[in-house]
Amino acid sequence: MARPRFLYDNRFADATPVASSTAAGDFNVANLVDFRPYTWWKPSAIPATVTVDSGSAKARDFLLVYGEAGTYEARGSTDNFSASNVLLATAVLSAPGLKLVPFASASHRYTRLTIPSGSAPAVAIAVIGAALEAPVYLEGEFNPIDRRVMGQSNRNENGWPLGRIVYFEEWSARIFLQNVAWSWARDTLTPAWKAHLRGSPFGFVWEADLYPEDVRLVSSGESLRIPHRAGSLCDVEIEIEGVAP
Amino acid sequence: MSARSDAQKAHERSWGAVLELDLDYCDNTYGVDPCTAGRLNSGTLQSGGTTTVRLAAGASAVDDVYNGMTLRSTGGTGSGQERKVIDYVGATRDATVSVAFSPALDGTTTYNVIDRPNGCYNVFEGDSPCQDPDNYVKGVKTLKFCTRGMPIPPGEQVRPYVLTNGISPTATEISTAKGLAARSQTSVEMVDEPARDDLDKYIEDRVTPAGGTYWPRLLARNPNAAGRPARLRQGYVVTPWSWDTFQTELYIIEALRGPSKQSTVTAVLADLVKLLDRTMIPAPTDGKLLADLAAVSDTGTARGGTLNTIVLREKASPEDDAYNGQEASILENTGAGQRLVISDYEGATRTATVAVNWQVIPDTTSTYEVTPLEFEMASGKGAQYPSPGAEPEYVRLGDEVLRYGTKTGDKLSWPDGSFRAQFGTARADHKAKDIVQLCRAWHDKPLKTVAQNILNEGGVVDTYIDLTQLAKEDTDWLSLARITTCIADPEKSSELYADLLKDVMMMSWWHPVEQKTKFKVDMPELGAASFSLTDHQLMLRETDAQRLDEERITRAAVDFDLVSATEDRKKRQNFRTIEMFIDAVREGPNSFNDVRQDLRQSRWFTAANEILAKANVARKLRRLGVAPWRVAHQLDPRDELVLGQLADLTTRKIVDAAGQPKLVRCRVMKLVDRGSHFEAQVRTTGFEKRYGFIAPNGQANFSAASDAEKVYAYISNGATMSDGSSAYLIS
Repeated sequence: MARPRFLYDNRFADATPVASSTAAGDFNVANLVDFRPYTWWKPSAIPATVTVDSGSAKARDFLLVYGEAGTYEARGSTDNFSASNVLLATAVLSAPGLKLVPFASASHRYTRLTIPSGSAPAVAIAVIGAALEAPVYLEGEFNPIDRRVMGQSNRNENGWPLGRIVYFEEWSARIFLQNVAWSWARDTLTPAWKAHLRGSPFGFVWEADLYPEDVRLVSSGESLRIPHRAGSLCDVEIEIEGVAP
Repeated sequence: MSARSDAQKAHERSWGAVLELDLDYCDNTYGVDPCTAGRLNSGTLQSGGTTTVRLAAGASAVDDVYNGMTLRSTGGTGSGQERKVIDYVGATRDATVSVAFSPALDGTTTYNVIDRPNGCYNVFEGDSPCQDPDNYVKGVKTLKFCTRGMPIPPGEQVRPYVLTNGISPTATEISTAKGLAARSQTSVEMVDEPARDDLDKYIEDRVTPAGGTYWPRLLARNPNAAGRPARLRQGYVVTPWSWDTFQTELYIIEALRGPSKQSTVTAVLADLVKLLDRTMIPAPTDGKLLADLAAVSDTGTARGGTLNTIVLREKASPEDDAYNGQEASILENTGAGQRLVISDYEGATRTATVAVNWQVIPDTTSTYEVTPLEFEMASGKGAQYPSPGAEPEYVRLGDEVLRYGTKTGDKLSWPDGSFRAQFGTARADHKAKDIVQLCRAWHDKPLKTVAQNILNEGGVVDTYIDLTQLAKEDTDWLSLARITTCIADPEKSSELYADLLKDVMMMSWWHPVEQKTKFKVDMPELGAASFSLTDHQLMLRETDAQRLDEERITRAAVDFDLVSATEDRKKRQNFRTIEMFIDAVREGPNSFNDVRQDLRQSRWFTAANEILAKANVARKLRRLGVAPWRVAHQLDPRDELVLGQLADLTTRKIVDAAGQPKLVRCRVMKLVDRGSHFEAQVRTTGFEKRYGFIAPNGQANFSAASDAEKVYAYISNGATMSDGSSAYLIS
């Protein structure tokens, strides 16, 4: 069992990531860190690596990848992969999409994404970081597979159905965390909201241990509501929305 | 079946649209040949190495001045490598780079130190324009934007900025009355966001990458986006991803507007025929006469002549060489009809020497005239006037159209006096500083050539013209449309083109999917419609049928054979002839009891086009004697039409006298892809009389002929055919 996690922290954002190779065109390695599924990095040769030096040892406990089919490894090192080279997690994508692999927390100065074999995939998002885990479970109204079709149905002059057009399937949810510590809301969540959750897309998974495949790439709404309760507790409400897979 | 139609046939489809903008983007790399911008120091290394090299003695003596700059080896050992300088010692000229050179550089290596942190943005215009415009190499950067929520094809840089309802097309509307279709305009509204500056080739070199959001940055660098190509691709998302379900429409960028109050930016796209709205035919010219140009320099009765001279009248110019280069022509009596160029003139004796000998020596009975054969304009103006090639070239001076045979610098000349006073105009005196306006003329050219010329000169190149269809229409319907005319004043190309189309009853439109300018003469159709439309296809409560009674006419006429290319063609007295047809029955009290006239003045038709003019007015009366129908409707994507195609429509909104739905043949005049459905507008194409075509050999008799074969003409000895149907019209 796991509590909800916000996946925005990224070691590749600590410094300029360095790729072993990059295909010609608009496939800059810096595109990996912007959480946008439409800006890509693509290596020109396999095996391929993207390495970053965080300057000091930093924690990480998940790998989140959005890319084409392929095998992706999260690795850590204390000496820039000279002697130390620790495999932290492996994500295997059988089709283009988003993949989350949580792993036991570890701390390294150097972080690397490795694509060990296969043909060179295009990768839009690569995140190796430490998840922000909520202190409580979600309330019952949360539904990870709700969806709403944005589209139109057509009928002919005789009333018979002609067909249906789907623009996309929207997934939206209200994250409601009840009775969380006021200090967590103030000192942990609010800084994260200001630094990232408010203005940039991020990953969200409601149950990383049991259902990592339910990870969503989302953006938050305009408001963060933290109604205070008596004592040192409060509730947290965040609206999030994205595209259903 | 195609991937697209397969996707359309599915009951549920996932729709998406992608906008592609082709913006200018310099192919150079800043500071690398041929670009010479940003070079702070160049020379030959004093000594080489892998991480530290010694620059030339002439490099800066200031410590760290080159830190962050790019050191590029340009020749000698290790040529073609670039590294970022991380330390520079002015006293020694030693530059240390971030990553070792491999292979190492040495004392033979030539180099440039390039200021990449302040490099350009690879654009020519804008707030950071090209720093080496002489060596700018214009390339293209294609930027792609898709509708929000649409799955992005893996590996493609497509930004989901297009709002779901952000595509607002004003479609092309084919028009029988206007000839040239209304130009389409499609607006695509897109959101903005903070985004990494992917369009900055040197983002890694800059001290601080550009800030701001995506669109304002792009607009600042591309103020010249208008006129560049744009493609709107609309289709259906399938798994695995395929572009084959998408249809690509080609446009030009009319404007990039915004950011709006909501920070959105709207790309306004226009069809290529819009180019005709921006150009003029003939091109306006601003050459002026440097000196007076006389209609006739001198005229009178000769006082004598020899084998190569003529003695002009006493009142001729007393100045030596006054008529040199001009033409002496004998008008009447001895030697009449001869034209020779004067090579020398003696003022005292009024004797003109001609360049070649007279065939018949003029004498004291010969009347003559001396006329100029050239004029000159101010320096540099000649470039605006083409040199005559296979086709003659004309200019307008006042009300005279003059043909010139040669252009030499700023001088236009002609071989003899017959080149003056062209296209019905009169020879006249012209003053210094009179405007010399280039003309556009055609001599006995087929209509397809004239139409193609106007499109080309208006900016639409042959790639974007359906020349095959144009030739077919020309062959089928316009063989009598041989055009001889002169356009003596600049006109908007689109208006000129529309004027031509209206005279020959041709429609022309931009087909964004075929990416061609299309043509169709509004004449009886040969063959069957390719699409059948019934209430089963028409979407619920979206069918709007209108009888266009305002377009009905009872008489049609055309004035033609303009007396002069420079006369006012809005005045009927300036046309020599007319053809007119009147439907007296329809004008009568038992019928419509009104008179509705359609009168055109044609500058394109001359007396040689009389038969065509007569046939056209007859057909127009047959076409509009009964009001046509216009039916606007919507269709599910499975029933996609093609703009301009024929469709047989049966709907309970158009019925016969017995109240039964009546089949009417229509042409698709307007088509808009709304993603969820198509908005279409069709118009009936019927003619009041039954037209027939000349049948091929072996055609069956009428009684045995199939319906398809009955498009060919059969002769009846009565008012009806043997099956009771209407007899054919011979016009």
